[in-house]
Amino acid sequence: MIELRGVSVRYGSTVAVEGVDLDLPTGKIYGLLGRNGSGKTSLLSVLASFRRPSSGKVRVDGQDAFENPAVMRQTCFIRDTLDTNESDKVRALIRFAGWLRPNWDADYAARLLDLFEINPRKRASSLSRGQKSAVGVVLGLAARAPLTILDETYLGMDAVARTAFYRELLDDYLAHPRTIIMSTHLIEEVAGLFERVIIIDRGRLLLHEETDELRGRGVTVTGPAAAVDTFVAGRTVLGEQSLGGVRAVTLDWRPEPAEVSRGEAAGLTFGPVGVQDMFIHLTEATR
Amino acid sequence: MSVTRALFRVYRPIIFPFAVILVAADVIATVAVAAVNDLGFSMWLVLGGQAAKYWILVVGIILVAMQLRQFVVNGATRHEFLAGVAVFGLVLVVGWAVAIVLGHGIESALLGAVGKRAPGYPVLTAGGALRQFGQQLPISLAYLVSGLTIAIGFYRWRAWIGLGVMLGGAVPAFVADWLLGFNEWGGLTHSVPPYPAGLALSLAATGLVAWGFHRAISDVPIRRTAG
Repeated sequence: MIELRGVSVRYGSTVAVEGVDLDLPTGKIYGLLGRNGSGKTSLLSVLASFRRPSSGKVRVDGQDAFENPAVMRQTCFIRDTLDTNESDKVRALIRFAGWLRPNWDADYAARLLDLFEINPRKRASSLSRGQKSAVGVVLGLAARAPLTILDETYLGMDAVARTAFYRELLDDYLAHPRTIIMSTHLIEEVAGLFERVIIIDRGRLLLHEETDELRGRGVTVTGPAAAVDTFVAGRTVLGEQSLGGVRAVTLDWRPEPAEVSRGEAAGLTFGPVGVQDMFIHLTEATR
Repeated sequence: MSVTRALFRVYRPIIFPFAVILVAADVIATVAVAAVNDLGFSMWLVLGGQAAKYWILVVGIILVAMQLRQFVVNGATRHEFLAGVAVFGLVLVVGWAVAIVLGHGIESALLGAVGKRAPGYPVLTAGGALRQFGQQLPISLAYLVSGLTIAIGFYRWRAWIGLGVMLGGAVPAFVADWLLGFNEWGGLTHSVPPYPAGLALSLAATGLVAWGFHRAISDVPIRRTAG
C-alpha cells in the first residue's frame, strides 16, 4: 500500500500540492490526471522521493519513502524530459540503469530499443523529442520497478510509437504485475489502461475512483430542450450544449433503469460519459 | 552494484586517459627542457602537483552536476550517493597523493641516472616523500570538497545564492593552497604557520565545508537542470 498523508509541496509562496491524502493499493495501473500546473509532477516527485514534501508523509508498505534505500531502489520515476546528460550515449544510459536497477531486464531493454528504432550508439543530444521519450519508456519498463511512475512519458512520440508503448506497458504489466502510475493529458488514448483514476486540481485531490465507476458515474442526456430541462431538473449538471432546439446535458448522476425508460419515452437519449469528458467537466466545475 | 563501484566504472575512461596525458606531457616537457639545460626544479611537481589539483576540483563539480541526478533517478538515495562519493573521493585523492610522490621519485631517479639534475633540483628523500604526501593529500581533499560544494550551491539554489555558496565552497581550496601549497622545489609556498598548524587549519576548513555540503545534499530536490 502506498499512503500519502497530508502531503503538501510549496515553492516559496506558491503552493503546488496541498494536503493530499491518498491510499493506493499496489499492483494496479493508476491514471493521474490534472490540468497544466495542477501539481501532478510535484506530487509524483514527492512519491518518488525526488523531493521531500514541505509537509506530510509518503509511506510505501508502511515505511517512510524519503531517502529509504529499500523504497527508492524499487521506485522508478521517468519524467517528461530524459534525466540524463546530453553527451551520454543511449547504450551508456541503458548500461548504467542495469548496474543500479535490481530487476533490470537487459534483453527486454534491447528489444524495446529495437521496437522504437533507437540506435544505442547515438548520443542523447542527437535524439529527437519523441526518441528521447522512447528511451524514457525503455528505462521505465525494463527497470521492472515495483513502483513505476511515468510522467507524460509519451511527449513527442508519434501515434505508432505511442500505440507500441501502450501495448508493451500492458503486456509487461500482465507478465510482471506492479504498481504503475501514469500522468497524461492524452486521456482518451490511455484511459483503457487505467484501473483507477486520480484527478487533482489546483494542488488538491479532486477524485480517486475505479475507472469503471468513473465511467458509469455520469450520463449525457440528449433531446428536445424542454424535455431535457424537465428531466435534469434538480440534478448536478456538469456541462451542457445546445444546437437549435436540441440540448445535450452531462449529469454527474447515474439514472436508474426506470428513469432511463421514462426519459426515452419523452424522446430523450442517454449516452455514456468518457473519462476525458468527466475529467473536463469535473475540473471545469471547480473553476 | 554499489554507488562506489559504479562511480569507478563511470570514471575509469576518464581517469586513465587523464593520467596518460599528464605523464606524457610531463615526459615531453622534461625531455624538452633537459635537452637544453639540466633541470633545477621538478616538472612533475609543477604539472601533477600544482596543475592537476584543478582536475580534482572539476571532478568534484561533475560528481554533483552530472552524477547525482543520474544515481538518484536510478534508485540510489542521496546518502548512498554521498557515501559512494566519499569512498571514491578518498581513493582518488589518496591515490593522487601517492602518485605525486611516486612520480617525483621516478623523475628524481631518472634525471639522476642520466645526469640531468641541476644543483637546485629537489632530490626526493624519504622525509621529503612523507612531507609531500602530507601536503598533497589535504590539498587534493580540499579541492574535491570545494568542487562538490560549489556545484551543490548552483544545483540546489538559484544562481545568486549559488554564487554565495561558491565563495564559501572555495575556502577549503584557498586555505589548503595558502597553508600547504608547495612549489616546484617541493617546499611550502608560504612558510607561516608551520606545517602542523597549517594542516590542522586546512582540515578544519575542509571538514566544516564538507559538513555544509552534507547538509545541502541530504534533501536536495532532484532537478532536471541546475539553477
